[in-house]
Amino acid sequence: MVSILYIFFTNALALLIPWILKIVIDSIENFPESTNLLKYSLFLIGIAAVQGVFRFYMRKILVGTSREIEYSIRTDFFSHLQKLDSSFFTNTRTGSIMALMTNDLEAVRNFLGPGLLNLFNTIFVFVTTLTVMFLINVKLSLYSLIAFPILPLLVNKLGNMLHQRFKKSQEQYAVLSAKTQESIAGIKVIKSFTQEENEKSTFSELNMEYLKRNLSLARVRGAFWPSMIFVGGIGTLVVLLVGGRQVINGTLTIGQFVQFSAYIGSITWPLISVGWVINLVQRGSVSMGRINNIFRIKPEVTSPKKQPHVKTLKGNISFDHIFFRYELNKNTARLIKANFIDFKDTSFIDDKNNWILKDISFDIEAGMQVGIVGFTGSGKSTIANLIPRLYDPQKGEILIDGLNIKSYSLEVLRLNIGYVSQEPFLFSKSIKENILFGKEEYLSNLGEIGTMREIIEVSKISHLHEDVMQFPKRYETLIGERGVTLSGGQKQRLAIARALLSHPGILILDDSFSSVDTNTEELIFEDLKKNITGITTIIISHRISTIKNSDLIIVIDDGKINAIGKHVELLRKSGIYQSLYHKQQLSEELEEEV
Amino acid sequence: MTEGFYEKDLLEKQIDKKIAFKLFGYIKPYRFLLGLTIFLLLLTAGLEILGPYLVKIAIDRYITPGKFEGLVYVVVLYGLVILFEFIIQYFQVYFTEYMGQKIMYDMRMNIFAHINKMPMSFFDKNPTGRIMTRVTTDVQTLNEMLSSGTVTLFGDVFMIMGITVMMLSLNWKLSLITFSVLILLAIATFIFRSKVRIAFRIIRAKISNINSFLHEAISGINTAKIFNRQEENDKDFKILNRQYLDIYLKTIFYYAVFFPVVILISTMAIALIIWYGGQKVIQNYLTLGTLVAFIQYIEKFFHPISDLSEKFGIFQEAIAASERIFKLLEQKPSIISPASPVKVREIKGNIKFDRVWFAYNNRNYVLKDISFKLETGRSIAFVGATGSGKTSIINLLNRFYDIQKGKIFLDDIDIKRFDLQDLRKHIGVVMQDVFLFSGTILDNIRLGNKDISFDEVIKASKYVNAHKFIERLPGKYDYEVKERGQTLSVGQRQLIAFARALVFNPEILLVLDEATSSIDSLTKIMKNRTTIIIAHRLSTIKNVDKIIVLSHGRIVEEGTHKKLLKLKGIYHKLYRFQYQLQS
Repeated sequence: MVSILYIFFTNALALLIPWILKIVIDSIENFPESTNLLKYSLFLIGIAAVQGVFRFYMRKILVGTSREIEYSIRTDFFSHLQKLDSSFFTNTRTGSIMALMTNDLEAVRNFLGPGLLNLFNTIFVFVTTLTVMFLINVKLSLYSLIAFPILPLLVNKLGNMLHQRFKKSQEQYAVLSAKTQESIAGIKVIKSFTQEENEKSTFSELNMEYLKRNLSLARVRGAFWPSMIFVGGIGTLVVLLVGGRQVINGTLTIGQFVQFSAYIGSITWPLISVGWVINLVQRGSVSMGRINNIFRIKPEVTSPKKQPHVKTLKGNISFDHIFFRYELNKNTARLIKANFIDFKDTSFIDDKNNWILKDISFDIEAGMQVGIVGFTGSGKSTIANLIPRLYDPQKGEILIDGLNIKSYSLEVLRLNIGYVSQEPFLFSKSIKENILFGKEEYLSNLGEIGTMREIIEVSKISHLHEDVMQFPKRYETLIGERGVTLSGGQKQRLAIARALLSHPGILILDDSFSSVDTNTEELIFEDLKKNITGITTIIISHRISTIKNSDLIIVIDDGKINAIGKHVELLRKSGIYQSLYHKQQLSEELEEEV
Repeated sequence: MTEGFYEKDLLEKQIDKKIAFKLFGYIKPYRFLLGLTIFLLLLTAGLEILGPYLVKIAIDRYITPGKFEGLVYVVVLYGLVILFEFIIQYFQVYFTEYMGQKIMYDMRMNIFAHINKMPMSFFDKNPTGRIMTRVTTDVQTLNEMLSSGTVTLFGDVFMIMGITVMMLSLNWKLSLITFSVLILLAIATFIFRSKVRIAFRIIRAKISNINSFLHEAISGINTAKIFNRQEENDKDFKILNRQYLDIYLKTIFYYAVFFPVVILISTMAIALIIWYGGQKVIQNYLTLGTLVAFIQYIEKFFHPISDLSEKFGIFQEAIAASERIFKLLEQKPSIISPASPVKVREIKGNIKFDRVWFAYNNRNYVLKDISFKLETGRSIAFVGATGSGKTSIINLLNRFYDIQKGKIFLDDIDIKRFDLQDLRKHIGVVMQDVFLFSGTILDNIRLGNKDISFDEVIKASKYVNAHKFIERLPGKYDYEVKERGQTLSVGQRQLIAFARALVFNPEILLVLDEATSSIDSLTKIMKNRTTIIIAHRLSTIKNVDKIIVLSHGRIVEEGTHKKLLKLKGIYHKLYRFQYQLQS
């Protein structure tokens, strides 16, 4: 509100300058001897100085506010993103989401800052200047505004065209980006089938289409600015003709004539900026719409309102006729589609029986070690994903300690599950921060030394400690692009340490030993067993040796349970288990032999 | 917050000569268009300067003396001026945009083509997102500078020059007084720019921090969920976001000070003219019209100056973007076709590895002293544990990577003497993780090669047993594959890869055999082709002519199935073991 006052005063003071010019000129014309030129000059400077102060605040507040708003949208958006379901992220690309938070947010901010500033400014300049003009000479004012009524028509018509064409250009940009991304991701296929030329020509077509759409946008945009200047020019032209005639007739002083010309000049610039503002408004509103679409997506995997008073889980797990497929709810799919035109929602096209997991049931008692085996793509990892509720199954129930997992709060559930994924995601932080990831609050009562002791303890269990001590900066060593590159095995061991830090009741190891050689694997395993007795451990693995001694082994094939039992039993019962065992024996034999 | 990873790149981003020179290379094809645009700009500036002069003439010659007919004449002239200005400006804006878009098109094509030439090691080192940014966002940013930037620069400079000339010719004394204020303006601009330049450098670093954080947070979202890290992430993000806001508020302050100062200085110029010029008018040394024209010129004079300052940030961004682009384009692809490749009409398909040593980086050899021969139409299988180096073999024959020592021959010609495209045309690859492109099944099999007919695709699909499942898909061969083929099973994807390899009908086949793939289909496509197969199961191995057992990058046993069994070594042990299990 204060900012509007600033805008008002800035513009009101701006009106004074032509007014003083008028007085000076009339005075020079009529009373050349008694004109105090110095006084008027100082007046002008004084007004400009005061106006400068107002202008300073106007700009600072308005543009500053737009940055503050940008800040809060960005913060809220990120916070909202983190709440969204995993299925949202499997259906969108990181790049597209990033684009929302950079390009689109920028467009919104430009509209809110410079856009609104100019919009208000234009309105005030118009209202105040016109008022003063009418006060001086109604007839001349009316004449000089003769061309202005076409403005709203022009703005409306061209604005619509701009909007349409801008949207088309943005859409093509998204297509072009997607193509680029795919070409890079599939470069190996492209190279080995020597499809570079074809790729180039496809890219060239999309690129050309983008060029065409941009030029079609340019044809309208090119007309916008000059036509605003033209309308303003007509105003000056009329003042020259009608005002000049009035001066000749003696109904207008030469000073007033100059004043009028100055006013027409001062409403021409805001007029010109209208075109620019319209552009910003168009972009801003399209972008705000896109951002809002994401805000409208409601996460489905959420904590219940009423939660049992449980802090720790013992680790009895039951799957009760679980059916699952990766599926988006209709509303979410619609909102994603509205934003990313290259998004293809296939979950509804496929036939209804296209389940990833079909009728999975099993019971695990607390403290058991359970192995899950099966071929790639059989659904093993999906089972692991369901336990910490990364996804919720469509049919059936998952129970932990006799309660549906949906009745626990997400925090409690996940804090009690140590999860080591196939390709552990590590962050560009120090080793210490990576192990501590997410437990900062949880361990804060231990203090710096206590926390470090815990970190070292879990690192020893996972056999990471020896490696860490080799680094000059030890646990403070940065990993990622700017730090050291960890080997696959080191990454997996770090991920295991990270999962153990909260002393979870359930530990899920999703193929976590694939980059660790068999010897190290056995070492880690021995230590794990020694140190984590009583923890329910679910091990998903390709290697039978890893899970051979489990209390229970579940064989998954094509989303269904093929067999459940112990090693010896399964060797007899399950053909799949047998063939997996053979395959692994082959490579193990070779490894041992050399 | 760890600072180490985030970009601390606070280097001066001045437009250096090298970049300017390279940018000019892109503008060059459109130099006539650029010339035309600049000419139009010159005209616009001229017309705009003519306006106040016409007003001056109107006042001095017609309004003050009271001659209405003459006034009409001036008004008509004025009307023509603004009409021409309108038309010329339209074309100027359009041509500018046209040029900018054309240059962006060229640039994107160049970068894209360049990326396609880069060897596989380039893609190992650079994440997809980063490469993508060069083609998309960076080019977009650069456009701002190339099109509107350069043109505005020319336009504004012309304007300032034109007005200077006009003012001097009207009254040189009055002009000099006006220009005296310019010293103040120069000082103000200098201070402003140096402050803002530093601020923009920090801003760039901060926004880059935000983006890296975001990218990581989104990519690792599931980890954050499982580890309950949302709140901490929020806090971390808020800090980065806040730093960015604070530095931006600082630049807003600079701008908020600068613009009023420019206006104050321009008002001072007007005040000086009134004070000095007013006296001259009173003394009849100056006409009233000239005084009015001067005042109007001053307003037009200061506009381009603030305009240029407003665009300052855009320029800084664009320079940074162009630096990144040219840095990518400068990287020469390390694996290229020879200057004069051998011309071979037909490839027979015999392969020879002669004491080959290979490492992905430095001296860390994954293949050591590998030699073997493979006759036309024969097949060879590599067996070995994970990490034995067997997968790397596949990457060498088609020169995805170049070897460090030794030689590889195809039809007794060193593969480095072939044109890369020629070489790869004869080698089909069936990979472990089958990459499918978004598009139809048909497109995925023939990969945009329109020379391959639909019938050929169906024939190939039938041959490898893919036809059946494709027929069952909604839309059949027109079934849209979602990104990376997530909706198809691994087995189905592999069958598509087989069909793909078959339809291109290569003389040589490289196969990464997986337990999940269909043996029948695999045996079928191996028929009459020189095949190198990286085997994971014995059933595949039994079908090949020769077997090589690898361990830690070295060949430890080789020979036919029979010979290896007789050897009673590793292979024998393996086979016996498997046989026992199967019976």
